[in-house]
Amino acid sequence: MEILETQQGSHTHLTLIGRLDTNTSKPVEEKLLSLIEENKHPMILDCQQLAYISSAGLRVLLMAAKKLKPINGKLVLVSLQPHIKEIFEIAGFLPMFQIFDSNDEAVRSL
Amino acid sequence: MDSEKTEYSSDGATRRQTRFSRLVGNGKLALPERSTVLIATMLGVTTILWTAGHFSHITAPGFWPWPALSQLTILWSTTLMSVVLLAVVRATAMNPLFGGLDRAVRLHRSIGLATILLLFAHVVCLIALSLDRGTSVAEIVVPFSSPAARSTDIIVFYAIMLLAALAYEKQMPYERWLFIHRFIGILLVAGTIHAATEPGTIADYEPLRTWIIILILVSATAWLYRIFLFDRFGPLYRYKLERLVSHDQKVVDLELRPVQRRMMYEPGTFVFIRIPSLAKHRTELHPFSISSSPVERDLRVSIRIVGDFTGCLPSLALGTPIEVYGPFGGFTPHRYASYRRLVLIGAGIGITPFLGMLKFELTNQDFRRIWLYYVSRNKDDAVYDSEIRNSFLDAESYIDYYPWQTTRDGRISAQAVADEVAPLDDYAVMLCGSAAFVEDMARQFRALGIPQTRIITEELEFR
Repeated sequence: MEILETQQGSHTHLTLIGRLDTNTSKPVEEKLLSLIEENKHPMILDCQQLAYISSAGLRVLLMAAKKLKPINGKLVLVSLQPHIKEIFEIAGFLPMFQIFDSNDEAVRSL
Repeated sequence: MDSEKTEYSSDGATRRQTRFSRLVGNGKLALPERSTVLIATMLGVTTILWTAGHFSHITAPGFWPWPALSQLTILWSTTLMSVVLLAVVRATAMNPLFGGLDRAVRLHRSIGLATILLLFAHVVCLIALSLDRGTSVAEIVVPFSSPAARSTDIIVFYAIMLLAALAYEKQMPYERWLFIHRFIGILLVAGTIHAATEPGTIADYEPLRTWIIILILVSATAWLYRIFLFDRFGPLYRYKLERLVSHDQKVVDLELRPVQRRMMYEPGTFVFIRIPSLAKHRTELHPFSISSSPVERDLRVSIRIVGDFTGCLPSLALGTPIEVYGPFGGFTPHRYASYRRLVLIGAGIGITPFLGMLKFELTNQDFRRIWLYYVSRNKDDAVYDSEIRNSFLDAESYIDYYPWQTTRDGRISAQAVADEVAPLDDYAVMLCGSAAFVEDMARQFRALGIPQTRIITEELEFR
């Protein structure tokens, strides 16, 4: 799992590359927590190159969303592959996240 | 609270049986199961052949009701008997027909009852006919009451009724119950052979006679295989005891290592095991849940200690040879691939098939949303709680775990589960526990509008 971080104006853009599962969720969790600590939000999570997500990955995203909520932070997801989107749908997570098809849409929503 | 404890306690060892519903809720009908089609076809053939055999006098005065009904009831009983015996033959080839041994055993129990009731109805019809004709009823119900009495038939009838009643005796040790229960089959087959060779409807009409002979051959072969040939020709795998984990002398895990070939299985299925070194129990086969994942080298069975056989298990020496027959059963999520959201509820030892499923979730990359409920009386009884806690977070599927202790949380209800799962409502439910628990929870979920095809149950009984 590779995490690319760029600061774009007022928001942080994170690109996830690879698989987000039990073995790789820890660094993503640490990255998200540190960004929240440093007030580097809102965040856009680009999932175009996210190949797979397991329950461990979902838990990390859910944890980040929960931590952001009381501080009026925002985590939006963009460019989910259909099979990743299906996992979100099965898990019942779609209502919990703002998900956009393009980065432009995501930026406009912030 | 005593009744609640009773209702939600597991009945002991992981003796199991699965119930699958045929009718779909919400006003829709599912396709009938293969076993239903089989039974309907067989009864149809029997009825058509009987009708053809009586075509010339089917509307003759005096033929209805009693003569006709007495013949039909015994023929239907004979027909169902062959299904009853075929269902529990434990042959892998029968799995596609019955959908797994656990489903077959359930069918065996319900159709077996119908077989006995039809046999009873046959005798009632004969009594009514006797009263109608003013002949002696004693000749039908009292053996040796007169030279005309069919004493052998009467004695066999009473023997079948007695054995059938004993089939519902729950207190008898399993092996003794099984030993006695086996005799019903041979008595039914013998009775049918006797009926087929007596002068009368069957003997007089060749197509019907041929059909009944086919049924007798099927029944007799099934019975012989089940009683005498299964041990030798059944799906046997040789294992040895690699590790034994005892949970407070209540539950024991046997971890078995394959000696020769490894058995492949679906998570949630079960096996019969035999331990030849147990002198008093060396011939006994007992069914237990598999609680390991098919990707693991060792096979684990989890057993509640309740009887003589299970009481011997904690003292087994490592390396003890163990014979494993299996796998059997259809209580596995892989047969329900379209159900992506599952509520799993295991009560007491009924959690064990879910343990295997959960372990498989660590590796299967088949994402599902799962809500796992482990129902126990209290924390001490929840012997697999820590195992679940230590592994479920790593599962591929998203699992929410709810340890439900009845002394703390009260009685679990379908409504409480539905509230937790809401707003999602398109889930399937898998239930495993005592018969009372499973029956009650299934009823509650049906009342909430969950279609019956989405309620998959397994009872911890094998009799």
